[in-house]
Amino acid sequence: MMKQMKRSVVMVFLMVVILTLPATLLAAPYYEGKTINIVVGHSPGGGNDVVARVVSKHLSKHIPGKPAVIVQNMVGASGMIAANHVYGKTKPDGLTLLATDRILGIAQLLKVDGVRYDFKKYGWAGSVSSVAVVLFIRNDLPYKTFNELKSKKPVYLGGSGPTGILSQMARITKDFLGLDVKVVDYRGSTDIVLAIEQKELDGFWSDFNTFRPHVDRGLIRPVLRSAVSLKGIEHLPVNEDLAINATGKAVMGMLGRTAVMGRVYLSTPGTPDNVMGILREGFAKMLKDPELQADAKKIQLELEYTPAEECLKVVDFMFNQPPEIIKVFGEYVKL
Amino acid sequence: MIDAFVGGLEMIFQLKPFLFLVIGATIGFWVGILPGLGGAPTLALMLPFVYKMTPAEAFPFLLGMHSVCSTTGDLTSILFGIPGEATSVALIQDGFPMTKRGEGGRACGAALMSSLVGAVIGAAALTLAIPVVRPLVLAFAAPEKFMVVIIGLTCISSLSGQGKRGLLLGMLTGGVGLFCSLVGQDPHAGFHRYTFDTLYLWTGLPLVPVTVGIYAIPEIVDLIVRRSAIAGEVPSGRLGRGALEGIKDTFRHFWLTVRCSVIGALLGVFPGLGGGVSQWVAYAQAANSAKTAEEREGFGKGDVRGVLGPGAANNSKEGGSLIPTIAFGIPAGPSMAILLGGFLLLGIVPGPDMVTKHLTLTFSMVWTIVIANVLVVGACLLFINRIAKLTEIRANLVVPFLLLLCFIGAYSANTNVGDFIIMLIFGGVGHLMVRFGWPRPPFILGFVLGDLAEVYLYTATSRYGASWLLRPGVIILFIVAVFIALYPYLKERRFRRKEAVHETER
Repeated sequence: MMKQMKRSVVMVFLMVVILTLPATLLAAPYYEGKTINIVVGHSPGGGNDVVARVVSKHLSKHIPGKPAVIVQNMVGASGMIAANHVYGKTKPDGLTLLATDRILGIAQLLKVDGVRYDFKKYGWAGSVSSVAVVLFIRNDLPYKTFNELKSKKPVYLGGSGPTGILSQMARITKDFLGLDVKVVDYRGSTDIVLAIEQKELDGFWSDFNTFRPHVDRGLIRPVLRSAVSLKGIEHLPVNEDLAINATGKAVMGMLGRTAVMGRVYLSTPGTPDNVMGILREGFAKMLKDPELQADAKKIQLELEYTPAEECLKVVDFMFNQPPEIIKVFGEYVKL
Repeated sequence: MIDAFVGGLEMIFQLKPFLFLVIGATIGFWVGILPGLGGAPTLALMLPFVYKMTPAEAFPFLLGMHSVCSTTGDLTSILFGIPGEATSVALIQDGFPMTKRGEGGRACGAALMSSLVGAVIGAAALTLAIPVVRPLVLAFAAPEKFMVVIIGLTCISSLSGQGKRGLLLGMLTGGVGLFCSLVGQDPHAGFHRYTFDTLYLWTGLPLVPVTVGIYAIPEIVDLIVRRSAIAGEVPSGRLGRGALEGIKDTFRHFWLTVRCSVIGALLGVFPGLGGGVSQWVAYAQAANSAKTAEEREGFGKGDVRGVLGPGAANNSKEGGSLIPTIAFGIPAGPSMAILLGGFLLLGIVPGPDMVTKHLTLTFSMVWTIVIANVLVVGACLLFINRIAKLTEIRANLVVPFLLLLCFIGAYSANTNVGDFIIMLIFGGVGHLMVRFGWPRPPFILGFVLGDLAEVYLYTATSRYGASWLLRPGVIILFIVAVFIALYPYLKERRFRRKEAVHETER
């Protein structure tokens, strides 16, 4: 009797497994028939927007289920409106991604009014680009190295306002690198390039990739870089190595290390781990796709994957800095 | 040079480039007509499509769209009093009153024809300027650009009403406009001005909701109160003179149209000054062309010259703004910055190569601007008299549609509820301004130029100290600014002297 009952239980169990196995094996991928919405906190045509559109073109084929991927612009407050929206108002289902950069982490670190998110609590898909910031000077200046440049007094460096990396790096250069800098703010990098042509400016800090065409045509050349290196600038001295004191080194180190978060993609907090796994794998595969790299090359972008774990280590590094360093950092980096 | 000129035309008339030009122009037609949907965001959205195109196909596609936005944007401004594009606001001043008088077809005909003339002159300016543009652009550093902005601001005196009271009101509203431009994050110290602790106002008051509010809402309120059609002052069934009359007006005032086209092309070269400002400077030029005091009083009440001037300038600035973009790789505005992205995508490096290696391609861009505008203007003129009949529809049917256009236009600024609030607040302000006779153009001019003036002044002072005041270019531009500021008074004195002479003779 007992033996018969045992056999029946085993038979029923086996039948259940066999009947449900096809359904389990053939379960539709999570993202099938769905749409991923990439929210960009800046207007169309800007840096984050351009990269997001390249990502939206290629991401789908690397995610099982091939979801549609679209870009939505949500402009305002340097991307904080979009950040707050994705943090607090969207569902944690992996269908909304925020395209942003380290600025959100810095805003939270400096306790900027209006921050309604915790940078670490987003679901991190990873970063697709690092920002290699260099100091460019006019090519017709007779100074070949940064040390030689120190003999010029003053050195007019262009900026685009206290909230832009150009001015921030220029002010840090003045106070911590021993260069006699006078910062002149313009409307944007377009006016800065024109001012270089007019010999009104001597140089400016900015992203190497964006200004590579101007280097190639002989208008400017790089003489100093921050921590992130790229092909063509590896030989340049690193700014934090030339700092005149430890505070300067720490501040430049913070900006240098966080540059790996050039273009990060974040999901709503609480997105399930398996969904985040799909996204991270998708991003990693997408960045190895030769078609994506060819499209990126056409518009002078260097795209390279930095996994979520590495990004989060950098975020921890930033938030674990001593309060006195964060205070000095906040005097130079404004939002 | 001639070979490249003809070669550029041949390039456009290949099958694929022409097809893409027509598609681009069709997109541009709708982008212009719909308020808020601007040329720059549309260019950004079109850019991914050009990855697989050749340059000969991509530029007709992109430029074909962008060069006709201002042309059709004028129609929404004239027929409905809602700015179709940020560059078409000035046309509301005289275009909409003409529509209310039943002359909507004439105003549209004038705007379309002057747009075509402006586009041709802008394209010609591009052709002629490329070899010489480099010294011209390099001569204008921050101090000189500040003085050009001041010249723009002096047009307030021409845009104000007549007499001392008119000027006082103009200066006051211009000052309020300048004040409103200060809202947002200070560009030099980074602190927030008048943001009332909201994230929305960090980037300042958005242009589209403010202009839609100031101009469109008062007109809609007026329609609701009047309870008649937009062309309510005209007996039903008699719409008055049509598009052909408007075309004739363009040639009757041909030199004004040409002068305003040249102003648009010149100002288009300077970043920030092209679209927003050139329309008002051209309007001021048109107002100053009045020969008698009565004529001058007619501006703002439906003088066709108030349509011709800005209509020409907002199209000629297209050619002007391409000049630094192509010659230097320095974009004259957000649209040109996006177009520059297109250049790089297609492997073209703007600069000296554009007038040597790629001269045929450069001329193909010139021809694109001309042909796209010819096609769109031709298509519009065929139907414009019928489209103008929309202005005969009763208010209770047309007001919901107009309000919808306003809300869509405003929301496109930041896709935020704040856009509606700003539009309604400035709608209230605009209504009061109309009720109490305060001129609106000086407000818009002050608002648009305010932050440009602040940035250029700061740049000039931080780079040169006080010595920028003694630069030769600055002194010359200052004299020009003083002349433009005083010109309306000198004219008014001349009118009064003539009247006094006539009185004596009688």
